[in-house]
Formats: sequence, structure tokens, C-alpha cells
Amino acid sequence: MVSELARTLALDNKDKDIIKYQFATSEVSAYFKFFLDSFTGSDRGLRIKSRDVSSEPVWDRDNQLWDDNSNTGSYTYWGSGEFTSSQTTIRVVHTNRQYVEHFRDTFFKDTASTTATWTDGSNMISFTSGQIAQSLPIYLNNETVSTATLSVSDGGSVSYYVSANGGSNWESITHSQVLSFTNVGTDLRWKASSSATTSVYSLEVAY
Amino acid sequence: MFTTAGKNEIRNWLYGSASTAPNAIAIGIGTTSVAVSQTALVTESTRKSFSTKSIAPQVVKFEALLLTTELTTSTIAEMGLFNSTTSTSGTMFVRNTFAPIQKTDSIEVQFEQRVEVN
Repeated sequence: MVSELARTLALDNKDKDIIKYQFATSEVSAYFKFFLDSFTGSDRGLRIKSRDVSSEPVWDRDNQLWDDNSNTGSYTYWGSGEFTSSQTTIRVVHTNRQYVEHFRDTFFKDTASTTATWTDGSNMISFTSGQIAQSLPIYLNNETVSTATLSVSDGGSVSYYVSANGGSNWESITHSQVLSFTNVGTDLRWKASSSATTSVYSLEVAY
Repeated sequence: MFTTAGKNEIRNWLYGSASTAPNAIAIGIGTTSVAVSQTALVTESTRKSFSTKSIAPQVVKFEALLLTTELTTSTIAEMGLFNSTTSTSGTMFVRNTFAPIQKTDSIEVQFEQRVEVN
């Protein structure tokens, strides 16, 4: 029985119900339950944005006038608050080429395209029929993406799509499927659409 | 990639030992692949204090801005999350590499690092 106990304990099994049967016929009746608790930090994505300010107005110290910095010489930027151009996302990377989303925040939410309820701290996306959730770039690193693998946890009635070219072409994908893109590209995103009231609890894309 | 050193810093906090939270993003030109055992950037160029940081449940987001006037001739390719604003010191919690970016005085570059505690 000791060996059985040891073998059972060695399994990565949170609920050790099986052990109690080993005691059922003995003088001792016992119930064991073990939980594995973990606590760790995880890198959940680096996003890098850039802004080209070469045509932004700057104070030209040489000539004492407003100018742009296309000319050589000394100049002083008036400050980032005065820049009129917007930042553009130029890189997005994840550890081990795996995007993991638990919907704890809206870091990767494409606000303009998402109609489903995806808010900070919701730990899920809630859909009613016909609603859509869509991500910003989840991988953008000057490298062609040719495959994607999806893993999801949801309440059903959700269709998933991925795009390797920034949303120009969406390709259908299902849980555990390894998709070879018809339209490859360098800007990976995902989209989910529902046909009923439902939720998505987690979503992972390996690429 | 979250490093072992970073996890041990969190462990120290849980235990009650001295620990310091991240306060800067280091930027470098190293291209060596990331590994959990790393404790520093491969070739650090500069270090920037956070311009902002924010939290959501179980998530922290750190941001730093590399100004147009900084690293004007560097090809940056790595970043790290540190608990010191002094170059080449402190604990590195996270290191990431990315396709090289040619930094010039015409562009500013913003780094947004997202960390989840789970």
C-alpha cells in the first residue's frame, strides 16, 4: 500500500481520492486532499511604439524661429506634448512565441473593432449574439508568420479567426488547430465572434 | 521572459526579506536569445526610469520613453525590466529581444512591458 500511496502522490493530481480506497478496508478510514498552489510572475508581452518627429515643429536655436528638424543645426523640441503625429506600434513580442490572454486587462484590445464586453479585471470577454472581440497586434517583429495554433476556454458558440497580415485577411481557426496561413504576413491578430450569449475565459496563440 | 532572478526577488518579498520593485527599463543592442538564467542585458546602452506604470487585477504595465535625443545612432534590440535606475546594476525581472530598431534623432521609442502575476 505504501508503494501505491507513493505512486499516487507522485502523480500531478490535485485530488487524491484514489488514496482513500486503500484505507477503506483497514481500521483507518481517511480522506486526503492536496492542492498545488503556485505564485509566479509572467512576461505577458512587450509592445514598442515609435513616432517619427522629423516633421514636427521645433524651436530652432540657431535661427530663433519655429522650424522642423529636417534642417541640420541646433534645435530644441518643444516637448512631447506638442507633437501632433501619433505613435505607431512597431514591435510586439512574447516569451516563447506564445501569446497568453486571461483578459485581466485591455492591453491587447482593439477598442475600435470590439463590440463585446472586454474590460479591466473582467477575466473574460462577455458576448451577446453577433458581437465581436478583436485584438491589436499580438506579434509584430519584422518576421513572417506562417502558422498559428489556438487554444481557448469558452462557453461555446464562438468562432475564431486569426490574421497574419494585420486584419486584411481573416482565416478561420478552431481550438487546438495548427493553421498554416493562406495569407502570410508580419502582423498577427485574432478575432472572435459569437452566435449566442457566451463568454471567452482564456485564449492562447502560439506562432 | 521573466527571469529566475526576478522570481527570486518576488520570493524575497513573500518571505519578508529586503526586495525592491522594478523602477526602470534598460535598453541595449545585444541580440543573444533570452534565457531565464540571465541577470543582465547582453549589451546595455541606457536605462530609463518609468514614464508611467499602471495596474489591473494581477497585471502591471510599465512604460518608458526613449527620447529623440537619446541613442541617436544605436541599433537597439533588447530591453530589460530592472529595480535600479543605475546602469548594469539591480535585479533584472524580465528580458526581451526584438528585431533591431535603428534609433535616430528623428524618432522617439516607447516601451510597454506587461507583467502578469498568476
